[in-house]
Amino acid sequence: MSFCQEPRSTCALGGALALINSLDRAVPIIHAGPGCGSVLTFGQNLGGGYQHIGYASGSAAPSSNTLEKHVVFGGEGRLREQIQSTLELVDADLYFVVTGCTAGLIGDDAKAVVSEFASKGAQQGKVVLAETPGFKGSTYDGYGLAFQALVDQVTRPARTKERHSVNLLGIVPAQDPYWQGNLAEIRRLLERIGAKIILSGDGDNLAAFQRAAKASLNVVFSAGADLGVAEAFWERYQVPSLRFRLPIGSNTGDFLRRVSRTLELDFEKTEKAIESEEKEFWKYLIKLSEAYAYILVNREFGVVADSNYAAGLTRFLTADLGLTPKVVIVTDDPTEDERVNVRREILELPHGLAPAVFFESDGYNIAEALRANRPDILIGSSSDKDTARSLQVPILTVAYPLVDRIALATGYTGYRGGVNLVENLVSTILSGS
Amino acid sequence: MATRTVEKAGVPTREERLHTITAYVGSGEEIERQSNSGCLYQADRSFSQAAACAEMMPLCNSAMVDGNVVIAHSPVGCSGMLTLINVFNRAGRLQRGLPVANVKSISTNLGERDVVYGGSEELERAILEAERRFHPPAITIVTSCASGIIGDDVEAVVARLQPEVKATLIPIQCEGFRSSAVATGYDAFLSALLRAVEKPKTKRADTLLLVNPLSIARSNELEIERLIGKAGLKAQWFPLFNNFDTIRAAAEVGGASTLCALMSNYFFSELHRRFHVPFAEPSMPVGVEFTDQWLRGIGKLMHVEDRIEETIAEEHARIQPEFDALKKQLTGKRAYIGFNLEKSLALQSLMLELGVETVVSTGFEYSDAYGKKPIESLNERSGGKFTVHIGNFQHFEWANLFHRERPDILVGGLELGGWALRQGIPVAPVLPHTLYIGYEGALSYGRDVVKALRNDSYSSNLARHVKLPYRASWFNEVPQKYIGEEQK
Repeated sequence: MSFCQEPRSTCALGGALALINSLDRAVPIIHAGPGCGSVLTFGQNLGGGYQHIGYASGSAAPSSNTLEKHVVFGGEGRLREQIQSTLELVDADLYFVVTGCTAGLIGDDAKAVVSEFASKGAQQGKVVLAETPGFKGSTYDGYGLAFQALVDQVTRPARTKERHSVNLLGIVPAQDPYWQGNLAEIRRLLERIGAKIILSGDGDNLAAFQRAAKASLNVVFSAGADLGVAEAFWERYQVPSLRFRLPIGSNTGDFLRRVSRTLELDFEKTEKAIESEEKEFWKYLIKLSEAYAYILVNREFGVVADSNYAAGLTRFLTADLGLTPKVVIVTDDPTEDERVNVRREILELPHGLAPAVFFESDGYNIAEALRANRPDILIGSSSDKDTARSLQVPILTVAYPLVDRIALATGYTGYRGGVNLVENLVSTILSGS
Repeated sequence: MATRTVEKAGVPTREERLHTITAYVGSGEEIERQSNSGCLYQADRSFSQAAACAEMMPLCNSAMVDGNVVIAHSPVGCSGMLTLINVFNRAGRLQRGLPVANVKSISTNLGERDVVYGGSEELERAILEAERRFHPPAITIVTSCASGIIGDDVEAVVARLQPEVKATLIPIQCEGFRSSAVATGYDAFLSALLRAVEKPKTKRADTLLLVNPLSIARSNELEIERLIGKAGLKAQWFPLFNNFDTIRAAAEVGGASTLCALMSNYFFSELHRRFHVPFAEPSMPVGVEFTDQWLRGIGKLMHVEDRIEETIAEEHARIQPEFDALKKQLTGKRAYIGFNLEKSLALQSLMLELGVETVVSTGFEYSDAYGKKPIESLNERSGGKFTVHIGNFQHFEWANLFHRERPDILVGGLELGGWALRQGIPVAPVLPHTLYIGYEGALSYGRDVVKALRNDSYSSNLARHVKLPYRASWFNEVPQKYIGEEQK
């Protein structure tokens, strides 16, 4: 891979830990060097909007803490001891062994060690394994690898489907600082049109993963993390997937209609819900109309975020708010094939409006692209603040790394998220004036 | 599993050099006795939790040297913590009147291909690009577990590229698996900077080189400047938030000392070996007693004993009334103290002076080199019944001790702070904006503790809603249950 200035993601192990942090009564057992668990927690959770998340995260995460002697003589014995002591000391339902660079490079057979516990761990909880050395990729990749491990090792084949039921996946905790708020709004809306949620992406327990194959559909919010997961769900359990970027504002109607059609929900109920939600949404956007001409009109915006946000925000700001898209920089390094989709989705805009689109993860190149395509307002991460300041452009930070705002319950998806975004965006402009 | 060899590179570990230990629970008296009888030994834990690693120290610290570009020669996650360091860096620069800016960092982003074919070429590209983008005075290159195991020869890359680039290239070899003592990373970081230090052209006999750790707000430096200024001395801070002109001139001083003896321990002997700079390593100047001792150490080093004694007498008289008032408010309170050992013991000393009973001091590592003297002083003044807990983090042991001791307050930082709150214990934080050094720091931090005790509503409500991940039985066990026998 190529070097990267001020990276906007951590590594595969970080992504695996992010997923584990979102689960109920799940504990990671990190088989890696002593610092990995802390670096990734401090960096990822605090760096993603100062959130303490996870049942046993940060310095409470069990970790084998590989030292030189393990690198030289092998770390399997240490891993075995650590799993054993974790089962004794930690009260959890899911014990999730995740491996780091040291284990990956010295060739520890973590699979063999974990399999010793897989059979006998029944009353103590389930022991599973994902091999996630940092060099395997980004936070998104690690989230996908760990999710696949759950689908492979926990999910049980389902003879019957639960009607109208869905799994939500793809939103990576803390890497999307607003993950909880984003998922809560999606869940609220899907339940309103009659869908039942099995995996919600927030606080799922072992039982939910066990019956995940009963879902009629996976709804995947995709910033590249999902590919293998969707495949595994389909190949093993014939659960199909629909992929979306974050639905924001009136775009949410299309999202709900597609899910409704696929799940064969009561279509009239869906339309009624959309109508009622849009009415509420526009109630607030009408409030904006007096200030709009003074604050937002003619603004050309820029977005620096992962593909989930890049497509969702561009669509919302252009199609609902009537702003002009100037530049969109996608930071999560999608595959070449995927870039075609992301670009197409970003450019699905009214009136032939078309921003310059870049795929770029390197901080220096991102700043250069912004200088060459200076917007009037920017939505990005805390890493973009210096660039915004030098260009004298107001910036709303929503993407990782997020260290100038705290992220608790706020979300930017759906109808309520659209209103949140308008509030935050206009406030950003006003507070700098 | 075949045995593999790992090339020895970089500084000796703290375990090798100072018999540092990272697993211990006992009383103040016990650790002193065991140290005296030579039976203080390193042990392994059969259960352990995520900790800090030595690699984090050069990464995070060199990121805060003014003008430096830090290259993490690693997969992308190792430099993950720099997102948070950015916050400290921006605040620290603001406090010192430097332009506020992000840390300049590049990750070589080692991937699956690199760990098979080697990452040296990517490192070369990153170095050349760092030079082109920033024209920095220096570039630090920090190795990682991955680059160490695959055997990338960073020294060779540096030797090859140094003639091509203007920046001083400073490789820092400190893989995360090297040492369980985080301070090995300080040694690697500070001694690597010696590569930039030049033979002194002049001597500034009245100037003292002072090592400043990350947790030092500018207000603390100002307090030290005020105190040594009374004795006619000037401070040259080193190396955080200082530029490479001052680092190059580091040997031009009359003497060297430190605000954290745990951190600077190896660096001074190296600085002395190469440039004959005399040094003193008194304990961290926190509280009256340790500040007195620190100033006396400086007085002796710089030959200004008389003026230092005058300063000490003046300061004692000046702060006495408010100090007594604070003591009245705090007497009888019970505190748990948790940082690296140097800082824990220094703050414990201040707490004792303020009438606080210090029930536990956690330190991330212990060595006689910087631990013994302060422990002796604290034992003498307190009776030595407090618990000394040594662990590179290890939350389960903190949780057990929090539960066991039910302290009124945690004197701690980012590492223990949130965990104490979640167990119902209010926090008087010491963070990179807290004034706690010297006599002014003693008063200021004393006021902080009084304030922190005023309203425990958040922590006490919070604790009712938090479920810790341990089985209930853990809280009936001794905290050292998982610490094993002497390490072979």
